[in-house]
Amino acid sequence: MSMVEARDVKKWFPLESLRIFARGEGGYVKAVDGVTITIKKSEIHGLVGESGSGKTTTGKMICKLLDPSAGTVLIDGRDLSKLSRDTIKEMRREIQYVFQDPYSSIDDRLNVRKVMRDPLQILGIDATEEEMARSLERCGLSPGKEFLEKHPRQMSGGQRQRLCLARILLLQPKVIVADEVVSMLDVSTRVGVLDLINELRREKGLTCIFITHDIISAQYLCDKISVMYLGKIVESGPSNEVVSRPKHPYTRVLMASVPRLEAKGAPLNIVGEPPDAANIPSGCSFNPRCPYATDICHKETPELIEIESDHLAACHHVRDIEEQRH
Amino acid sequence: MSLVNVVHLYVTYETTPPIRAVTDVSLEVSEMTCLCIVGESGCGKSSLARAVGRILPPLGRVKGGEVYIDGEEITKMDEKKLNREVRWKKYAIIFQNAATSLNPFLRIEDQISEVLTRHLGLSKEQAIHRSEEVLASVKFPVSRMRSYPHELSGGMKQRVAIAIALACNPKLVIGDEIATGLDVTTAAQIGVLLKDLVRDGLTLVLNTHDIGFATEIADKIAVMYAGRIVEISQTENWVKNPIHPYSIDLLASIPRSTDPDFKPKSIPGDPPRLSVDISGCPYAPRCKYAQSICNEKEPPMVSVGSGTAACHFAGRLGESK
Repeated sequence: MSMVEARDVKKWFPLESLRIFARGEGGYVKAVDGVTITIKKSEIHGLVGESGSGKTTTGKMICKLLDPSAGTVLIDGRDLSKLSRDTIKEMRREIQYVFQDPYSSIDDRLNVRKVMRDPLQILGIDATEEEMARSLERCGLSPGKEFLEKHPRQMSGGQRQRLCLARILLLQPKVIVADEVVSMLDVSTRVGVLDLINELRREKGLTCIFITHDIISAQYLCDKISVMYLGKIVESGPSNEVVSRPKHPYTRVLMASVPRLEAKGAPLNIVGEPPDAANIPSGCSFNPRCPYATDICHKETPELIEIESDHLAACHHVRDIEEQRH
Repeated sequence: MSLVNVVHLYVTYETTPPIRAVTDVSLEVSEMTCLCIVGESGCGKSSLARAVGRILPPLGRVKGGEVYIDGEEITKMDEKKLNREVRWKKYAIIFQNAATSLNPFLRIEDQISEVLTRHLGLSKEQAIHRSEEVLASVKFPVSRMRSYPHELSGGMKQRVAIAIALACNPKLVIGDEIATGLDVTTAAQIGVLLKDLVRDGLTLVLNTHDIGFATEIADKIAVMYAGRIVEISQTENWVKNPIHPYSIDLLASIPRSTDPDFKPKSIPGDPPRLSVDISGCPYAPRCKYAQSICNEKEPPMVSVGSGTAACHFAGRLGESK
């Protein structure tokens, strides 16, 4: 059974409210424009894309930090938009969001004990010293009892991100949305945090949505990857498949742009930059940058269809491109 | 011939307690090459780049050593002379965040020509003409010269920042984390541009924490740890055969796409604080090869093959164990 299900969710931000400076005629920024994802229990699903692709907005809608403009989000079979206020509060405990910046998401003036306890009190629960210490130790901050006395400013970025995870674990969530959780960390500590998320998934059956711009770390951690471009999913599938045999031209561009340690790859041929989300090209939104684009790409929006088992892509020319490669 | 020569440089921030951001750093950069200084946050790479460009923040002091750019000593030069003869003309600096390094109230053409009229004494028309050339060289559409910064994307703004640095035709450009915060596809495009510029005669000193980006564009890599340079190697050699244990561990911590079986490992522990005196090798507490000598004596830089590294066991790691 699926733990997280998003059905054709959309988030359109009206430009009207931003019109003080803009000369435009209103309209919408289509941050997320029809995203459908199904995530099984204890699966780690990566949302990969560049800035402005809508990956964070999608994550926030899954956590009900934002309400979708259209479409539904189901967590464990329950429709988030149909819950009463009280149930939503209970629900919040089960879906937790881990933020990108471990420096601004923790109050420096509190000690670790208070950092961990305060959010619990809002939800009307309490944790014993032992539980808190155990949670800290589980996240690699040992001895936990000593860490409880510390102040966050005495801790490194990696440790602070571990503290964020430890504090969330006390709530025994079912789903966590991890938004760029390692991008602020030094390379040498990144893998440690990724491994921790993976261990927690295995031990506690956590379902995780991992939002990142780094497709390689997504491949490392995730079971499945969905690649987003301008508010739409353009490719989705098992992570090794998507990375090693990308179907959509955008995913291939993304892979070609990733700096590689191993070998100096073929010269890049990337044109342009992602267009403005308030002014998305008609048809396939990738068409201005796509080397394979033809007439149909300017007119019709391609559907996300299954190309191989469990591997989906939204491109009119997927099969032609495949043939060319063989 | 080396264009940049840093000789036993020390940089300290005069806080209480003082922070020794750069300790005894020596390096050379040859003309028409790109050197990338890599290291984790707080390792002193920004301070080193800023000392070389002589733009240390108010509390930062060069406590010893010299910096030569194109034969001229920079650290003790009279500020007026530096501004008149060296800054912009011999070297220029690009900062991390192009969005904040541009003036939001000025059109792009005015921002570039300002540099040219002030430092090269060009007339307004000449300056605009030269601006066009420079913008074209960074593949910025000249038709958008009259735009304001907010009308441009992040990648375009970074191109403008590069163009401003190139305006007076300096031999050296120092870049502080210039690809950080850009999207992957944009960063890749900037990387291609920088490589072209180096091929056309520019010398680059960049610092970055993005090791992938560094290996993609650099000819040489300098690895910094705790304010010291612990290894300098040719990029290819560094990736294949890193000498210093820190380089080895750092490279082993990065997931790789082509080899799904490769299991990256994070480095345990934290880097030392630069406000505390370090005796012995700064990496010893985290190093799996460390022996008693490593805690007692700071290792000198020694040559191994074509690279140099500061490790007592450079070139023979693990042999004695």
